[in-house]
Amino acid sequence: MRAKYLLLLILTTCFCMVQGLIAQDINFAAVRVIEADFNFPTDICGNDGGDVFVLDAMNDRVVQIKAGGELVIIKPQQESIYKAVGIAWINGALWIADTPRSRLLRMEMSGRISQVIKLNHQTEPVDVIGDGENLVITDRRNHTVTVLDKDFVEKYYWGKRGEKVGEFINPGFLASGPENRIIIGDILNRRVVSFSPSGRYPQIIAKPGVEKGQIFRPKGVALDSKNRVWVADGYTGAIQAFSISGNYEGIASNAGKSLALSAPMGIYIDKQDRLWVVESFASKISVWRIK
Amino acid sequence: MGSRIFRKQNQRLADQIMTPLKRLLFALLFLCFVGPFAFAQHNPDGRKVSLECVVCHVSWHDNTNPEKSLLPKIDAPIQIQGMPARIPTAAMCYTCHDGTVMDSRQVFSSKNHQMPMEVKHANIKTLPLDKNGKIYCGTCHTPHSLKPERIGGLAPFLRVEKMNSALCLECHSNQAKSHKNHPIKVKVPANNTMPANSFWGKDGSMECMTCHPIHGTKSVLGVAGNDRSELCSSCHKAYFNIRLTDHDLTSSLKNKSSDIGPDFGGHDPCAACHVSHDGKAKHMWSMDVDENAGENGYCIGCHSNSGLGQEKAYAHAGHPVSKIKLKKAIPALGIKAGDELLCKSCHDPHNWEFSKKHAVKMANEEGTEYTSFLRLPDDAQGQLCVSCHADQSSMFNSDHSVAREGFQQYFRESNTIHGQCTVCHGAHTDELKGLTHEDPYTVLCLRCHDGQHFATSVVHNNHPIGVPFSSKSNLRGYKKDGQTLLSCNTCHNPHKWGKTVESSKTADLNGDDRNSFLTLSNWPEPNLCLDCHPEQATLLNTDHDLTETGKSACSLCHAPHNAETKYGIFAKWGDTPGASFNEKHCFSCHSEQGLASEKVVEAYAHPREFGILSPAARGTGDWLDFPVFKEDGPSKTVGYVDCFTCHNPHAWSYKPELRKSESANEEGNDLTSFLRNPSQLTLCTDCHGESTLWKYNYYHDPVKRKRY
Repeated sequence: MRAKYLLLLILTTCFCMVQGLIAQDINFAAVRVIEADFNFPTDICGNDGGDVFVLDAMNDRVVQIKAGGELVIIKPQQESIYKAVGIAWINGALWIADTPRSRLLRMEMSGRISQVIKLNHQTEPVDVIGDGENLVITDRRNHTVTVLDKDFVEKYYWGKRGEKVGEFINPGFLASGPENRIIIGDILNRRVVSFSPSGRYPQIIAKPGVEKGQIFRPKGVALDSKNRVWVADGYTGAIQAFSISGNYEGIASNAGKSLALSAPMGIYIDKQDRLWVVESFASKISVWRIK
Repeated sequence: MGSRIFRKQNQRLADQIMTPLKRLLFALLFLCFVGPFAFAQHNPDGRKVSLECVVCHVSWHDNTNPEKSLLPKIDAPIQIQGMPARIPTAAMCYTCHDGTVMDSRQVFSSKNHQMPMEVKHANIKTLPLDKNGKIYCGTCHTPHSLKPERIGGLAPFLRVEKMNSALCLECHSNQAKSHKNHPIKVKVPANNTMPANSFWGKDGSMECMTCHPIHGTKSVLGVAGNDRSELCSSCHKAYFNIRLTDHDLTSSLKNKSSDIGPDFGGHDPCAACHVSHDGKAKHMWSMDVDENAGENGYCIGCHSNSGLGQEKAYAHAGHPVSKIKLKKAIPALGIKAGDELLCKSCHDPHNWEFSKKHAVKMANEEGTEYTSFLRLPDDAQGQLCVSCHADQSSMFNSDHSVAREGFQQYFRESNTIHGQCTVCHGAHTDELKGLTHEDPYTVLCLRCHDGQHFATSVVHNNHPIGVPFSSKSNLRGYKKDGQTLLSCNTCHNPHKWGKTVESSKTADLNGDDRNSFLTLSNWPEPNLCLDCHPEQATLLNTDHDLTETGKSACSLCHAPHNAETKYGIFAKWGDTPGASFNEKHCFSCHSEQGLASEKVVEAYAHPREFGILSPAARGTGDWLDFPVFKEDGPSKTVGYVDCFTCHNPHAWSYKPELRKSESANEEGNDLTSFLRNPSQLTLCTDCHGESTLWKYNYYHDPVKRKRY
């Protein structure tokens, strides 16, 4: 008898899990598409003033999209940012992960590089975010996440190359989550994981796969006003939402069809819950309103 | 699938401890909570594959529900087992090579080898093509290539190694293996200025990829439009001295157009003559070449009457440049022993001027002996010509040096400047510069030796020229109608003042028989004169052989230039007695103050008012047996008797056995005494008969005259 109850319990649990995997379309409305002669842009960020910045590194520049929609080209005056990957607005300044040259660059709106931080261990930073006074960077070479203190000195790092939880194979884009949790796209492990600021207590948010609710090439990650974690899939082109605890929330759709963007990479959600997506392969930025 | 694995791994335990229901419960638990993390992936054949495989083999994810699948529909370049292959698509590659894992964005932004690509001119033998017969990523790349980390090996995941241009040659063998293409696998200068990240062969040699980025925005490094200047100059910087010269056709022919060659309006000076691939001849030549002309064909192709360089057309005259093999190496010109003499032996088509001190200042600048693409200048030392014609170098310190006043005067007057050799020789015109006269030597020499210039005048009473001659040493002359006629160069070699270089050093000295640019030494033996006049050698060692320092036996009486007389080119005799030039000449010595004061001829005059028939006219012999004279020389018909009628100053005796004096100052008799003929056969008896002796004594012997 106990076995029968147990069987019923299991079947019920399975049903709920399957339900969670059923795709739930989240309607997106197209706002605009920005094409500014981009050349394989990679990342995007914004500031509190409503300005959005696109890292167009293959053109050795940053494109500023002002709140009013005006485009401003920011050319670095002193240092090239050729083949940089990540960009973030941290504490009132633009920070660029100068990937091939193991540096973080602080760039003024004039294009002047006001600070150059040389990283140790031949680190090749992919993305950078701020965590209070700290900077957090992902490292494609050493497969780690490194935290720099306010003096830009390495404070600690975690991770190594591997498949276990807490290990990475090419950690990529970053986002800050509730309670300062650090959300990381673990690209070749095909998952999205969050950690405490100290690198502990990993929580898998998105798991590997090519069905709805799964991720194959996690690229940009961002949180909306409902603290949903949006993840761009660099291969399927899907934009999917997960709860911070790892429940599948749904997939971005437009006109009844799941979005299948062109190699989406960095994503950014502004205060109006508009999702900005870098469609890298198409060299354009698409903006969507989350309904 | 998971249950099968479960069964395999836990069969024994389950059989022992579980009831069928429990087994089911356990299986469900495993499925729900463990399965998603423990399941491995499988390929279409059912073989378990590792996680690394699924990183790319996206369709190998187990249990993918097609209805829930997010896999985009793609137009895959190839199919594997009936399914579209997703991996060899740019979209798949880009998921990692976007900078987050690796960075190949420059490849994806490349204009080169963008897929799918038509095969076009490529000659692909072994590499795979896509389903439409086009080149795709997988044509060159496969993620399964071995040892991708090997330097220069199969990275980045190549099917064929790129070292030694092996991969490139798989398709482009026809563009790399002949002299019509830029060579590969060759060393490049250490000071090349190619970009630091250029691709080089194992030993630093050049490969296809050194110039051609496989993936990039440009098909060739450093090339903007059709201008390859930057690329070419990376290794061939020295060749860029060609800029603004006549060989920089973008400059010299800027405003012209042609059916052949490049766009002259561009800025690539190389393009006029060279293409990097598929040239029409060796040296990556851009134009058609007459291959029968050999290496010179590349020059003559333009420097012909209808060529681009027709203003400097090669006239097949002047210095020969074909079928001449040089026996000795000439390092100064980079010529090795056995090399054939070519246009480029003297000319470096890329260097207007050898020392780069005389840079070209403007397009179409006229060349000089210092420029004109010469490898060495024809300066006052004649560097270029002397490289081969070293034996001519002795003239550079002689009066024939262009540095001397005579030539400088000529240059000032003609407002020209010439090198030591080209002042006389036209390298590409006739043998001697600009002369069409039948005797170019005379004309050339008289340009300076004309009495109007610094050089010695030779316009008056010279040794005859333009006449046939017979020379023991085959002295030169000029050819006419199959004959060699005497000219200046018969006796003179303008390149050599004396016998040696040292003896050629002069300072406007007057010459003598030891030097004077003579082709043969004329002192102490008068070899030059005797070469054509061997019969006069009888003079030697007679009382008439007055050889002295610098003056041969001939020169005492004869002056080949500026003589007193045209006939006999007698040297000037000064103020001496005598009625005829013969008498004056003889009496210059045979007088009281003369060298032959012991043999003063006191009585000699034969009446001149009566014409005397020569032996030839009389039919009694040759005119030279007893020559008679007129005012301007000997007469073959009618004349008067003079010294040389009876005397032959070149022979002591008319008898061959007596022609050499037995001792100096030997007293003569009727067999010797420079008599031309025995007395019984004289012309005198023809007129005077038996009274001949009496009359002879009367007129020639004052003592006997008194008796009479």
